[in-house]
Amino acid sequence: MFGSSMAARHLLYVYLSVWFIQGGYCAWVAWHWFHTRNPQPPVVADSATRDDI
Amino acid sequence: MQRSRIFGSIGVVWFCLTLAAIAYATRLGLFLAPVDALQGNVFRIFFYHVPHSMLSLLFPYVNFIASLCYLYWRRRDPLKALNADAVAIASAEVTVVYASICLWTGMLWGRVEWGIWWTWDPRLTSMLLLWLLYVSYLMLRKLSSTGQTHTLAAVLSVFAAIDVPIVYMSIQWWRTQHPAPVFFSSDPNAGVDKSMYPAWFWNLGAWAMWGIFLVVFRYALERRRQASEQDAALQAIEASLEMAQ
Repeated sequence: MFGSSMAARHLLYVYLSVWFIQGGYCAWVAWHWFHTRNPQPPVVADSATRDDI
Repeated sequence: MQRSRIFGSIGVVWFCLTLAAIAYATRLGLFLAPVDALQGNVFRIFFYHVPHSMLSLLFPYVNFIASLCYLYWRRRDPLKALNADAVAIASAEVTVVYASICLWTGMLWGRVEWGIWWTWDPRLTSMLLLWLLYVSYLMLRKLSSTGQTHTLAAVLSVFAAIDVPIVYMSIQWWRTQHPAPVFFSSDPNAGVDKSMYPAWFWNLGAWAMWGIFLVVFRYALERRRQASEQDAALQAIEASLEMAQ
């Protein structure tokens, strides 16, 4: 649709690279989200009260 | 229903709405917006470049405010300070992502329109400096091993925020090769045709929604990591106490 000139190629690169960078960062955060242990029950500030949980 | 489940559901709904908004905004920018009379189709790069540029100047202020809150609370209320620190790192990372895209898409446009990838123009140089400042902020947090890393990073962030108004005003203060601003310009010849407004505003809104999603998601991850570290530290203390008995 936009031809095969340098302008058309660069337009394609922009849209593809933006999706790639944004999607890559989101995937990186999601990967760490699922690989970071979620402490259960929630951590309390005072260790003295930990026995009460 | 647990609070975390409610936040999770809101996050999923927000994520889906954002993807739909990005898809619609991309369709507007690529296929429905009229062809620019001077630049042709390469102008469509701006539908992604300009929103990312504008947002890369907004997220540093989130980082700036969070860093000031961290510095204020770090002795008065350490739990609030941890929250502020999580917001600070989340917004700094999203700033680097958006600023990287701004620089990269600008270079791709510049190669077509100017015939060069880069020029030491005030706007481009100050933007590169902004990117370097936030990359150095993240590297400091990653590599420093002192106990004062978070405080040092917060102070660096306060200085980094000074560059934001310089980037914004650079095309007003100095004669630059960079095009005049699309929005809020004092030049009557600057700006774009109103028929392009839907593509602009949809892209700006969609990428703002995406940025907010990323900041909140990264913040939640940092809070989870902090809680995990605290839990591991508590378990280590308990284990050492049991060994001592």
